[in-house]
Amino acid sequence: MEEKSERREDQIKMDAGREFPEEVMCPSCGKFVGAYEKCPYCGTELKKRISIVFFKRSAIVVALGGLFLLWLTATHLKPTLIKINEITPFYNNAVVEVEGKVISTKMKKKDDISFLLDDGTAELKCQAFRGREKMKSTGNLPHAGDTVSVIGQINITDKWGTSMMINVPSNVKVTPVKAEKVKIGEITVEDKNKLVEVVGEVVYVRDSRGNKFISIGDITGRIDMPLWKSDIKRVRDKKKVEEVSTKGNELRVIGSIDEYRGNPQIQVRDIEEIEVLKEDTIPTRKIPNYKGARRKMEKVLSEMPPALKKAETEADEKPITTY
Amino acid sequence: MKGLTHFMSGVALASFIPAAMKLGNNQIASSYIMALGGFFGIMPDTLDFKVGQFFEKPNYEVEMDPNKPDPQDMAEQIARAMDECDETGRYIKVQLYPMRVGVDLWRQYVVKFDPDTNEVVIVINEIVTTSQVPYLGTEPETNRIGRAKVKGKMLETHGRPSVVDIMSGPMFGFKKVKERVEVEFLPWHRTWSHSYVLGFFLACIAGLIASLIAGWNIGWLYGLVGFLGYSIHITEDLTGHMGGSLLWPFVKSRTNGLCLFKASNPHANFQVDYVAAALILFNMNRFSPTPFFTLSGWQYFLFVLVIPLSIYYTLNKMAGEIGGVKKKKPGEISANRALADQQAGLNEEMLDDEEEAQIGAMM
Amino acid sequence: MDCALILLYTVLGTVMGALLSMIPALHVYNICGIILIAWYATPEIIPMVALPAFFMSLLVSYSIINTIPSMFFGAPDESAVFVVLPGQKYMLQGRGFEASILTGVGSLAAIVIIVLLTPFVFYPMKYIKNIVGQNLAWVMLLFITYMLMSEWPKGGGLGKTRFQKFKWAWANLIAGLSTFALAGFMGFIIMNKTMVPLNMSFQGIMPVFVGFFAVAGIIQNLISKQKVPPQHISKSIDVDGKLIAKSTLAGTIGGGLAAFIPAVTGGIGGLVAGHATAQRDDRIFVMSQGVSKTVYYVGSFLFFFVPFYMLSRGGMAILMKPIFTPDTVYDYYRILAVVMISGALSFLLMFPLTKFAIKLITKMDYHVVLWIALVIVLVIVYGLMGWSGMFLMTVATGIGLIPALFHARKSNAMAVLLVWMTLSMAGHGEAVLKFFRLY
Repeated sequence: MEEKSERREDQIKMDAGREFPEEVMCPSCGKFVGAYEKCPYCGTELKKRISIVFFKRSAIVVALGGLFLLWLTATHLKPTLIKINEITPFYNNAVVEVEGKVISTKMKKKDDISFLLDDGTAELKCQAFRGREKMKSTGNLPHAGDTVSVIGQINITDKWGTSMMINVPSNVKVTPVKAEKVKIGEITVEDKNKLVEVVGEVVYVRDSRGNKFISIGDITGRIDMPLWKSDIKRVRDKKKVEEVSTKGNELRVIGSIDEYRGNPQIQVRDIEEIEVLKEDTIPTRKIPNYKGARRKMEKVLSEMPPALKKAETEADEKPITTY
Repeated sequence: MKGLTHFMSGVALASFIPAAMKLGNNQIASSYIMALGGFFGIMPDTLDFKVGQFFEKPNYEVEMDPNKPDPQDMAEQIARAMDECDETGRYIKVQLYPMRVGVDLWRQYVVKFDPDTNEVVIVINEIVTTSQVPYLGTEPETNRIGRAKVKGKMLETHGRPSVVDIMSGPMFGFKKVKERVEVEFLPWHRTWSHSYVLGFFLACIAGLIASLIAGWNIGWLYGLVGFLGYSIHITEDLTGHMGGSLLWPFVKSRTNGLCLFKASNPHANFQVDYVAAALILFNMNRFSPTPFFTLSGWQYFLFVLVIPLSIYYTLNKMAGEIGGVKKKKPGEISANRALADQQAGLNEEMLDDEEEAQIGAMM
Repeated sequence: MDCALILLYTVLGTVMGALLSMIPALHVYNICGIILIAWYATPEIIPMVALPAFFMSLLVSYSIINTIPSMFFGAPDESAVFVVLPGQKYMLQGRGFEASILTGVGSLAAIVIIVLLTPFVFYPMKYIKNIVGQNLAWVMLLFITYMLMSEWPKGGGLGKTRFQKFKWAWANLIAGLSTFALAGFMGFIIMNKTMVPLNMSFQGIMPVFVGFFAVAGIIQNLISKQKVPPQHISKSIDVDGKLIAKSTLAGTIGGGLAAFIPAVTGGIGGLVAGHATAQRDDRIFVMSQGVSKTVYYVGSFLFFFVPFYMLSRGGMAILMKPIFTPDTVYDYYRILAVVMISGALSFLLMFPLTKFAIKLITKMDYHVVLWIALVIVLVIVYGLMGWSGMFLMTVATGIGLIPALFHARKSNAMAVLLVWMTLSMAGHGEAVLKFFRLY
């Protein structure tokens, strides 16, 4: 019995009738070896076939060297800053930068966000399927009125129009708009869309299908501050919601002014942003129309037509657009 | 079973763990945990074919000259190895090689361990392409069959002759069991790698790594998914001829399979793949925070599994693809024909001898 | 009037697609990109109503006819026999015509199956899309894992020592893994930085694919000294009903998976389907390739026309998305009619075009055809993308040549899309980019 370790050097001319160029035959056993560097029959190193070796080495060099260069270029390449009205269908999939003012924001799911950006030339919807929490933790969560610089991929469809997909949440840089500190009594419907910061005591709370209808007041007046179910759901610290909706607590709230039935109300920018003050700075008795306000609000709610009530309930289920 | 079948079965089994499925859902966590089921599902064969086989050193390497194949020489070499096993009681491994006669051409041969005659039989067949399509008429006209008697009694458990043609040749292991020489096919395959114990150990490593990254409260799930994937592979392999070393390293011997169907059976593989895909989809929906269809379990299985698979079975039955006589490999058929011809030749010779003897007696 | 226009542009698209598909290495998406640029400049060349039909017929004819150049002008070196497709083996045996018609029959079967499956797929797909959509990150990882783990060592492993055997057998596996890693890394770069001119971003991935598959393929074939043997024009083909059924099943699964799962192409889908159906017959492989290719290309674009869920899978849907929205179910039926007409026409065109290809390779060295194809491809890339595109293409060619020369699976290069998408879908994109300092 043979203990073999080398392949035999014999061959059969099975490929009779076919002609092969000399360089593709093994010089040792004469068999067809094609692009092999080592004969699979006799194990001979086929050094003569430098062309294949050359191509193999070239492929590796080009791949590795080229990738390194590509990476080096990419690390220094800043995305082009464009104006929204420059975008044409040929820009589809381009990764670019745009800057502008946030018109509105929308949040639907656990960690997503979309916002409408206006750079003075046109509006662009920017959206991220995830990363809202990250934006928030780094102070880069866009709010209406903020100035934002964002890098993302242009996505154009006939149905949905032009939008920008944000793959990297850190590519959103926010310069926040400053909220104006005002007394509650100074707020009128004329201030609609204005971002304000107010300090007030919770004077009224009513739960309705997951929404919380809250009124806050200071010595100059009082104002409604509804908290919507969809916003409440997103608050991680549920204790915060409890504190915010506890009568007698004093809050520092940032929100934009909205109008409801001819009266101003505050649309809270972010429930988690609400600060519950430890000191009692507002004498409750001095809050005007305290009891009257409660009665008035209860009356308004009881007189609300059923259709409107239904619409309100449906709205609870939908994403809320804040202004 | 084929690699894909093990892979999909691993995922399908893992999909029954609600916590794992929920982790994988992008509305909850977007974890890759489910892919681990597939990864571990294909792992045992990966260990064998990508690692184990190259480190299994045979005692003897038996090769034939592709120009002048000598089946008798090969049969004798194998028989001598079996005799050595019988005489010394040592475990002997013999590696066979394919005969490559062109870039896309191979000389096929069949190795048969015949317990009835206690012989190793080698039959040289036709030349085949890499797709195992034979060129008819290329079988050797002479010196086609080699036979060698084995001294000790052989025990053949594989059940079928081995057809050697493309890529690589098989390895046989000869083990002395109760005064008999047992023939083991591919002794490196389905041994240590096909062990529930090893599966548990590897799954523990996966669980440990996951725990270090994500914490123990999630990490153990990765271990569980891995173990289920690994286990389903070993269990599915028991349906074939070869079993596995189920409790290696505690019990090292390889148990035999249930011989329900061959690992390469296309119908069995396809049907298991289909069932696995249907189960994965069902569980994806079941454990989604927002299920998309509300079919009950029996409705789903009726419409998605029972009806389509019944149609598949019926059509294949009608076409004669399922059931009926078990098909033999072309190589086996060719070898059997050669052996039958040889037997017929021997009978004729015996008849001639008898006739001659009778004539002689008459004279 | 609309119907006549649609019919006219269907025929026009089919004929044009068939002729352009004969140029080796030229991909239909590149052709469509160029046509789209021309269309934006002069929209009157193709009326809006006929535009989807025109593009669909281009796609249908490409999916059917493109088999011809890949079979006859890409004679593989025989040492690469383990990675050579059975279609090319047929060609080396002088049975190229038969193989070409076999794939054509497969494509025709694919079109029939697309029509037959419509009622079963049309509505359930909405649910499947939503369910799978929530789990897409790990589903895509399944494809990656299987693609990598199912590449087995080729050959038994030569060598004296155990390690030598191991090294020999692992050479092609390492080549495959390297291709995957390099292509995946390239994906991080190109998916997050626009390296081509901004106004060509809609075709931004084109130079990379041209490099991976077209140029690398041409170079591989140019190196090969293989001579094309005389081809026999057969009057019948070696196939029966059972074989067609088996091929259709395998091809439909493969093509369907590729059409539905993002970044999974026909090659990867075909690989999974081939393993799922465990078929070893070369004829099934050849025919199922035709089925798979047509189901993948046509199916992915067809999903786009289902008004309820408008899946945009595949390059053609991405190209069409900015300019067209299917409004009603009739858009779907109309495009299905286009598929049927164009499919039948392409199949008929296959016979003369295959004969033409055979005539061409017998009269001239196919290497000349490859050189011409290379020049055309380079001109297109340079013309559209300039030097930055050429640079991307060169790097991609280097990566694409690794599996070609080291005998590994070329589909590993699809990591360019798969890896980034899988990571970013699971929310790991930013961490990876940060690690590589890419943002």
